[in-house]
Amino acid sequence: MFAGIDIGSVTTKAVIINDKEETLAFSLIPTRFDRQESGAEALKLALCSTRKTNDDIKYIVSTGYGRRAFSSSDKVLPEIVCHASGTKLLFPEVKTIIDIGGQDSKVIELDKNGAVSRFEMNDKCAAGTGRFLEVLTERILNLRIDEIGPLALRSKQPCTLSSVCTVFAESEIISLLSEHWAKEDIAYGISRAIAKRVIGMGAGGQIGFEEPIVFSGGVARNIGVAKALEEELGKKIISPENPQLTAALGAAVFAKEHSKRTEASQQPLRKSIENSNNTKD
Amino acid sequence: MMVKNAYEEFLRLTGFEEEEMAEYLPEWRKASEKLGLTEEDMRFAVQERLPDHFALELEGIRKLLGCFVKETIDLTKAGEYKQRGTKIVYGILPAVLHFYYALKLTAPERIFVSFPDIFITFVMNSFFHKLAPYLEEAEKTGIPYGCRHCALNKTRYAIRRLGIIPSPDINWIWGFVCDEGPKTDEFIQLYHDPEWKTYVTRLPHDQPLGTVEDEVIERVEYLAAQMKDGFESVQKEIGIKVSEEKIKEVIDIWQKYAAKVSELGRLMSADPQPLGAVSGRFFWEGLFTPFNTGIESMDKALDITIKEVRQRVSNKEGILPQGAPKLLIYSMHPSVPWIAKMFEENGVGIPLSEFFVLTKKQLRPPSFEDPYMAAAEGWLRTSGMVNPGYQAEQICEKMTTHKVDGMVFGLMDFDRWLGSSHRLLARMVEEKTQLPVFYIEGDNWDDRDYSPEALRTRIESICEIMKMRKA
Repeated sequence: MFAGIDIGSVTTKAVIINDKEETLAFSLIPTRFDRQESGAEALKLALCSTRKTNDDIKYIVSTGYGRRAFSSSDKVLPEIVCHASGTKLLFPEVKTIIDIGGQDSKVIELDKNGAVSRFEMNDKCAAGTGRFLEVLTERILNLRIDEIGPLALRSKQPCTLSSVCTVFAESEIISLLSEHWAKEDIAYGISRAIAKRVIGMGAGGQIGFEEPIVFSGGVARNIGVAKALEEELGKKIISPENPQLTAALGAAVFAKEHSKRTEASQQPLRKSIENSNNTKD
Repeated sequence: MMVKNAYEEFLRLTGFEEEEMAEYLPEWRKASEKLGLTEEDMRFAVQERLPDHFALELEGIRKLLGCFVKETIDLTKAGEYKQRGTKIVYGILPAVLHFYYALKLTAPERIFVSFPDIFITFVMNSFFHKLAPYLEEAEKTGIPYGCRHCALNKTRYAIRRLGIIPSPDINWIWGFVCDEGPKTDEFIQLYHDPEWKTYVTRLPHDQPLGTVEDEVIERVEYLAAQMKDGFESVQKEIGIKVSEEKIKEVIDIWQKYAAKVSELGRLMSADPQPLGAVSGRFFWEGLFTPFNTGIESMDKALDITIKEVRQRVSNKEGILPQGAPKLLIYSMHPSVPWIAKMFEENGVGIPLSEFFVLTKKQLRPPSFEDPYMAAAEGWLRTSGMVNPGYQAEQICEKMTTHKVDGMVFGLMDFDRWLGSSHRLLARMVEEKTQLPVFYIEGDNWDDRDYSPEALRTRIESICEIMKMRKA
C-alpha cells in the first residue's frame, strides 16, 4: 500500500492506494495547529478502514502547505504536480485543472502526455479562494458555507462586486445588503467574482482553458462557483466525486512510483512511522 | 559558532587580509554605525547570511564581497570628501557607467562618483537583510508602499534624508527605462534637499517591437547626442574637462572586464554547475555600476574566481548533481538570496541572470570611433532596456549559448516598465524556443511581501516539473 497525505490550510486528507492505483481508503479532517499531528491523524483514520497497520504502507508522499511539517513522509512534493497526477488518474484526458482550496487557487494546464506544462497560483492574496468565500458567507450573509451554492443558483439578477479583495468585498456586500439586494443575488455575485478572478489569473499565464476542465478543491463542492466558472468560460466543467482528495491521491501515486524506484535502487524503503511521529517541525 | 569580534570576522569573511585589519576595522565600525548596523547584525551576517548564501570557501568570492564592503565604507565617507572640496557626482541605473569612470580617471583625487542606492541596497540586504528601515523611512515621508515603487529610489531618498550621503554637486540621472528615477530626484530636491541638483538624460521608447535598435543609425546618433549633452552639462557643473580619449580608455577597460565576466558565465554553465547563483552574481554589477574605489579590485577578484571555478569544472565538482536541470533567470538579485537557494535545494540550477549575460554582439568592439556613438551603440545593444521584441531574440541566443532547459521571468514587480513587459517577453521566448518558461511574481530587491513560504510551492513546482521533463 502507498499513502498520499495532503496537509492543506483548512483540511488534511489522506489517500491509500494499492499496486493497481485503486483507492483503498481515504480520510478528511480539519487541519490542526500541529500539522504533524494532522497528517498522522488523517493517515490513522484512513488506515482504520483498511484494517492494516502503518507497517503495511511501503511509501508516503506528503503535499500541501503543511507538507514539510509531516516528518513521517518519505518524500515531499508540491501540490501542483500532485493535483495533476491525481486528477489524471481520475480523468485521463484532462487538459485543465482549476483547484480552489482554503487559501489558494490554482490553474494547471497539462500537455498531451499529462505532464504539467503551465500553472498559475495566487502567491500572496486570498481573493478568489475558499477563505474569501468563507468570510463573505459566514460573516456577512450569516449562512453556512454549504448553503451558499444552492442559494446562488436561485439568483435571477446577480450583483456585481467591483472588488475581489476579501476586506473590500466585505464592505461592498454590507452596502448591497443595506440596498436590499437579495441574498441569492449576492451569493451568485460572490461566485462570479471568484470565477473571474481565477480565470483571469490563468489567462494571464497564457493558459487556454482547454477541455476537459476539472474543478477540484473544497470550493468545487460549491455548485454556484462551478456554474459561474462554466458561464464565464463558456465551457463545461467536471468535478470528481471527492474534489478535495485529488492532491492526496496524486501524492499516493507518486508514493507508488518512488517506492518502485527506491526498491530498484535497493535503498532502505522507509523509516518507521511510529518513530518519526514524535518528530515535530 | 561563537564569534568573538563579529566586525573583524565579517571583514575576514569578506576577503580582508590580516594586515588590512588595522586600517579597515575602525573604518568598518564607523561605517556600520552610520548605516544603522549593530553587532547583532554582524553576527547574523557572519553566522547565517554569508555562509548560507555565498561560496566563502573560494578566495575570489570573499575578495569580491570585500570590494562591495570597501566601496560602502568609501560611500559613507562621501560627506567628508565633499567638505574637503571633492566634487560629488551621482548616477542611477540604467546609466552608462563609462562617463562616470572617465570623470574618475581624469581627476581621481578631485571627484567622487557613485550610484549610492546600488551599494546600500546590495550590502544592506544581501549581507544583513536589513534594507527595510531605509524603505520604511522613504515610505513614511512620501513614497508609498507597493505600487511598483523601486527599492533603489526609496533607498536613495532615505540615505540622503538620514545624512548617510551628502548632496551631490550633480546627480546625472537617466530616464531610459523608468520614469520613477527622475521623479524621485525631483521629490528629493523639492521637499528635502534644495541642493540636490540633477541633470536628466532621456530616451523615448518609440521604436517598433523587434527593431534592432543598435543598427538604426538615427537611433544611435540620437542617443549619442543625448549622452554628449548630459556629459557636457556634468563637466560644466563641476568644472572638470574630460577628454574623449578618456572615454575610449574606459570603453576598452569595460570590454576587457566584460570578456572576463563572460568567461565566468561560461564556466558557471558547466555541468555540474560549479558555483551557486548568488555567489557569482556580484561580478556582473561591475558592468553597470561604477566603483569610486576603482574596478581593479573587482578585476583581481574575478581573476581568482575564474581560476578557482575552472578547477572545480575540471574536477567535475558541482553544487548540484551532473545532469540537473538548469534555468536561465531574468534577474536573480543577491538582495533576496533565498530564491536561488530554494531552486538549488530542489535540484535545479539557475546559474545565470539573463539581464546581465552578454550576447556575442555585446562583446564585439564598438562599430564607431566616436566615443559617444560607441557608448550609445553599446547601450542599445543591451536590448533589455528598450525593446522586448529584440530582447526576446537575444534571450533565445543566451539560452542556446548556455544550454539551459527553460527560463524564469518575473521578480521585477517593482518596475513599471520591465515588470509589465515580462508576460509578453515570456510568451515570445516560449514560442521561439519551445522550452518551458515560468513566471514568478516578486521583487528582487525587497522581499517584505514575498516570503520564502509564499513562494515555496511555486518554486518547488517549477523544480519538480523541470526534473520530470528532464527525466
